[in-house]
Amino acid sequence: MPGLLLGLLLVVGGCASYSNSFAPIAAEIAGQDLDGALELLGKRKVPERNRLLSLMNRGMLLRMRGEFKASNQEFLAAKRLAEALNALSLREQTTALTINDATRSYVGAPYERVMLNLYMALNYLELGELDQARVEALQVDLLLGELGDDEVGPLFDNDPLARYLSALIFEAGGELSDAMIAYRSAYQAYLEHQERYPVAVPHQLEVDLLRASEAVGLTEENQQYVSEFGIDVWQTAEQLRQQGELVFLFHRGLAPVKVEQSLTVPVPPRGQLVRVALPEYLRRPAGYSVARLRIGGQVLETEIFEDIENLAIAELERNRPAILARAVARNILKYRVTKEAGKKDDLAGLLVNLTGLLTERADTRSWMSLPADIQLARIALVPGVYDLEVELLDPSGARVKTRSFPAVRLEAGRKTFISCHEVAKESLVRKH
Amino acid sequence: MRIYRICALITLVLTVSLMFGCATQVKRIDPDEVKDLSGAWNDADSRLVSEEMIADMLERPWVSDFMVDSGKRPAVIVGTVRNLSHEHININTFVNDIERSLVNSGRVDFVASAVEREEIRGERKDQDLNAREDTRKAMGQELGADFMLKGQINTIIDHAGKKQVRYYQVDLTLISLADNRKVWLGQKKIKKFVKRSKLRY
Repeated sequence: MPGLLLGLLLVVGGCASYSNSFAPIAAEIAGQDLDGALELLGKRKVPERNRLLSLMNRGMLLRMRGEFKASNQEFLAAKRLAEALNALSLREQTTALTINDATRSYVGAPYERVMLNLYMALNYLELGELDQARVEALQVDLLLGELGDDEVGPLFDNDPLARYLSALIFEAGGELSDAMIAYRSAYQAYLEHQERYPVAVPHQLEVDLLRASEAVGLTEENQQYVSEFGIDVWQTAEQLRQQGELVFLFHRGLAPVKVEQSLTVPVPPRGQLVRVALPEYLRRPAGYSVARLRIGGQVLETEIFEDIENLAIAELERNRPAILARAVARNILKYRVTKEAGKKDDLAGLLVNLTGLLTERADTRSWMSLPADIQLARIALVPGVYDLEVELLDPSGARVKTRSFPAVRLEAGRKTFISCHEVAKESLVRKH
Repeated sequence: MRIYRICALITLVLTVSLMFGCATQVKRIDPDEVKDLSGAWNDADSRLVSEEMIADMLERPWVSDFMVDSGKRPAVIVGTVRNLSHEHININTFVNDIERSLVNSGRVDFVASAVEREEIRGERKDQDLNAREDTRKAMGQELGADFMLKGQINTIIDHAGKKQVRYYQVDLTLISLADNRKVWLGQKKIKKFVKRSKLRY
């Protein structure tokens, strides 16, 4: 009987998981065919439980196409849905304990909810709507506070780039003391995250801390930063105000993919099969490493400000005990039901066992159109119109692609935000 | 016995589907009725705040002072009202509510906003070329505003678990265009307690 079951499992077990179904969309993105990717996404029938993912992916693709307004409509809907789904559903908990985890509504990981705010803020900034972006900065602060209440752990109740972007928004609006507080929170976030995965405090943030602490008159703190960072020359807030600033964000590649790792074993004495299927993250090959900017005679490379890949992996680690506990509880239940059915009728036992095995699937859902990391560079120049050249480098440092942004207007005392999300074909390769 | 059970089951399924399977329901409600759904800033807040604040503004002595000094009604323009809150508040409907309350009060003259003025000027330019002379409106005859109304909406949100206190503070300032004097400061506060559900279907 186990042999027959295993054979059946091999035939039917290959049905696509959620993460597999995203592969064709990822391929379209890497091929720069965003229309094709959106069309693929639109054609797909989305079950209600995956609606949040569909909204997040649509928002991201529209953003990549430069449709910031439409993108924000999707993100806003996603944010509202995530909030509504925050309440516990007993019905879904029951199905998760009897069938599998993927039958539940996808509620979004803590870092993904933060990314929703962050990307909405970026959309507003690229539209030049500073006050609206400021709303997102306040909301992300609130969200991080709420996540802290939920005890999601130190990695997820503070986010470096969300804080840093808030600082940029406050600074752009002339609110220097709020900017200083946000820069400091960003610094704190890097130090906290450093304990869990390798991430450097960006050099840019060190300069910003020096400038902001000086501007609001925090002399002691300023001196402390001077000795800590070993920097003693920086542009003052007043000098910066007289120049136009370019804030360039490079959204590199795609976030890692969850794949299913499963194990099927026969349990003596009757040889009933028990299967455990758990999600595992697979890092995508790097493709690009950094972006090198050339503007107004200056050359500058982007720095990593948010490492989404490592955050995603850390989030799965945090959840693993709960996922494992549910899998064990489910298997005990399935084992008992199969045993009861097998007592009455061998065929019934076989069918129940088979159903139990086939439905035992890992939840491989995640926001897969997020980049692997977000990099940033700031350049202050004499106000004017500039041509920006962006060279994308591969991990060996060789230039593999160039993108140009002609006629970038930099105005005195203002920040101009430009984003570029590039996925290298190399990062699509997936090992199984 | 078995048939009895099946019948009971069918009855149950039918009852449940009757309860949930109804078509979309529409019920008309009075625009003045206060209906709080999510706890966010809504139409009722916008209307109540603008009406109350403008009523307060028009009661204050600056109106009569100005009329005594100049012998005419003050001309007011609405400048920017900034949204510094936690929410994407539609500032346009709030500004429209303020304008309506001001114009309908009849106590002040009201000057069109910068965007509206551009459009009117375009129309006058067009009249200059195309309209009959006796109906043509001359340029340079606009009514200059005496005061500008500026403001901002701020929020403080306190939360613990699923409970939230949302505190809104709307500040409006009336500034004299002649000498930058602030002639009126208005403030309106709204406080809401929102409790979100712990459970869903």
